[in-house]
Amino acid sequence: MTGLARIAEDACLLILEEHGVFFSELRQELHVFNTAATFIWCCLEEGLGPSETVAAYAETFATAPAEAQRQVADVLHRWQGLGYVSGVEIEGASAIDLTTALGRLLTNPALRREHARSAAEVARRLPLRAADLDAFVKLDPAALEAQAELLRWRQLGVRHGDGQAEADEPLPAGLEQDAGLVELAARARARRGTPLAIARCYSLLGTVVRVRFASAESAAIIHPALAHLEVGEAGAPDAALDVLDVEPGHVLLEGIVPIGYCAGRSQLAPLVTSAVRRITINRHPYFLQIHAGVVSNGERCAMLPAAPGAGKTTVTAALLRAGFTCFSDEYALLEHPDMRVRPVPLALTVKAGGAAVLAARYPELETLAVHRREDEQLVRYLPPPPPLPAATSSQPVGWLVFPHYAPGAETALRPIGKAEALQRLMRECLVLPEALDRPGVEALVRWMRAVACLELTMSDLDEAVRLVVELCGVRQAGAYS
Amino acid sequence: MALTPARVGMAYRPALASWVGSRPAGVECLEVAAEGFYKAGEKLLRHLAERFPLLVHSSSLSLGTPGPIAPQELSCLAAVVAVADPLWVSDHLAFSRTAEVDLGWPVPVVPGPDSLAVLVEHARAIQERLGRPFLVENIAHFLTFGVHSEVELLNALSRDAGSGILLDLTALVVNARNHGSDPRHWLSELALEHVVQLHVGGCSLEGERWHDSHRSPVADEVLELAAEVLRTAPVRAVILEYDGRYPPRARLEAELDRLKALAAAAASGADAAGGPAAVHEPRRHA
Repeated sequence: MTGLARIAEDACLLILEEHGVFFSELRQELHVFNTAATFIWCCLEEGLGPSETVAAYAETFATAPAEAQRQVADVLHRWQGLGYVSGVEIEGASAIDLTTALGRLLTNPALRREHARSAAEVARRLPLRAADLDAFVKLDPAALEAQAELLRWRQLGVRHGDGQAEADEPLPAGLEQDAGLVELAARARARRGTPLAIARCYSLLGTVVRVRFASAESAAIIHPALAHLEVGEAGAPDAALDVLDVEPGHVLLEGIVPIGYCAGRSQLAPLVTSAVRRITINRHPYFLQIHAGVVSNGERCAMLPAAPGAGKTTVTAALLRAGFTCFSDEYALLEHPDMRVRPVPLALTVKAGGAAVLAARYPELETLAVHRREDEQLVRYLPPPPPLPAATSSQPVGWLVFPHYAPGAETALRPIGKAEALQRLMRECLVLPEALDRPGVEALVRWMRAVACLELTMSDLDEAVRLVVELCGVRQAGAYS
Repeated sequence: MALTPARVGMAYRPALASWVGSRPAGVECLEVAAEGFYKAGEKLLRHLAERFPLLVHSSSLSLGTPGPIAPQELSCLAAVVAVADPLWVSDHLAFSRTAEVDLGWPVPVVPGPDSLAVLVEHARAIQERLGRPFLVENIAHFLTFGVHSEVELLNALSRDAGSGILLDLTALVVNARNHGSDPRHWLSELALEHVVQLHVGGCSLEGERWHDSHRSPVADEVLELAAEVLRTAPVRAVILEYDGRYPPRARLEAELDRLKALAAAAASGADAAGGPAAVHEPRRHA
């Protein structure tokens, strides 16, 4: 190997315990490097040449020089192909296949430019397997650019949660005529001819949403799920929802725009609560939206990120009964730059299995109406026990606890590495409202360094609660102020 | 003897839940996206499976990546298949991962003997693991290949792995428009006897390029091709794809009715012509 490696201008590595968090702003890539890769990157940052890097690597990892040479060359070769670094001449690197080469071309703009100038030279330098050379040089540079652009656009859409942005308007069901939501809403208004008599205002994240109901029946179904967020009607609301009864079903308007429809009453509360959540969260600036429960001990929060079915709501509800304050059941908003978490205390969405487990802690669950969500899950909306945190408050996160329901397993809390925790956290990231930038990633890593990270394996809810209470402490029931 | 017409159905999306729940008469089967049920949704999937014949469509197996298929992906897919009990499973003639990066979206496989070997190995492994017929779908893309053609690859894969073909006619038309080629020529080279399912959906011109955006009614050109393929291939299902800008129910059902009419006409036409080739059953790999 010869030459001095130059790190791509948009790339950086941030240390997290013994791992490195690699970030490329241009490509919006966030990876965790293992210890060996992190060491090599640090050598490059310090300006070490290839031979010095190999020597340092061999010494640090007690590796034979030839093996160190091979491993360092392999890593640099890969990074160079991906465009993370440039400027190193690597002899004897293993040839790569066409799929790997195409992956590099589609993610590395510099490599595409070189390919456009001389595909054969790029193939030699990769190096590409001889059998693939003909196909590689025949790849059309303009087509590659277009494909890379398509890929980047698709990735951004998926990562930022807007890939299905226009898919949100549901299709009306059970209607006899060819009527869209707009037409249905207009017909409902014309037929009724009277104002929407019942109005209630709900406040979440500092946004007040007024909901008007066309009938007392609709209000009776929806209001209990939002009642704990109700505020008096003082001044103009920030947003307005109208629930119209149509034949058959119900149309939901935001202002004058129809935004949803459901055929049956059992679907009304899920439709309206999700609209309130979406409206209020979209009006609030945040850095990351994580699928997580969040409870506060009065000073700091424990965040419980998990996929559906992991027992997140069940353990969150049980912790609230143990004296924690509800910040969130499902949607945790982390704010830039200090990663404080903002309360989103919507009613807890308790499924059938959770209701049985929580019955002793929440006898009222039995009396709550059962609603049918879009995903056919039957749920109850459990208002979080008071007091609720003020909408304008925020708290630091002290603990990241990843709950995992495992029937028959020992209920235990065990620490996990920060890098693993970061990877798990990002798997539960629902929305990145803006593209990541370096200050944002630095803040995220800084925050991860300070937060205790644990996995909660649980089969016994009482024991799980005891462990979390012991970990986080809780001042006393309802101690939040 | 008249042939049984191909079933006509819809690609299931959460925004269609209420409509699908109303059991619209035009929907004879549903195609579900496997990844939508990896983390949750078993109850919904069971609910759908009780009401419709299901087809499972995957986008994350990365068939074209050399080496074994990611075990985690295959396990998740197997769990979905166990609940959905689908007629068959499908994925794309593409890769979405390499040994180095996760591209997050299907990218076309460059046709050639090596990529064929990888695809054959994977298609066989999937059929073995899932115990279901497996179809491979052509995708919309911007790349052009200079040596071997995509259609050669699909044909050889079907022949060697015993998999079927999910023919995406919208992708075919989009590619033809972008590349200035003739979709009928492409079809004339395709081993139509392996085509089991069709995808049709809307496409749109964005900038200078066509995309299979699935946000508008199916183009007439796509419908014409569908009619031709239905007459000559043993298609068992036609799936309409929408990914937003959903039309009112009546217009959507009219699109489905039009597809049903094409399928019915093809079935009766085949009969009038003296009987078609035997309906292709994708091989279950032993």
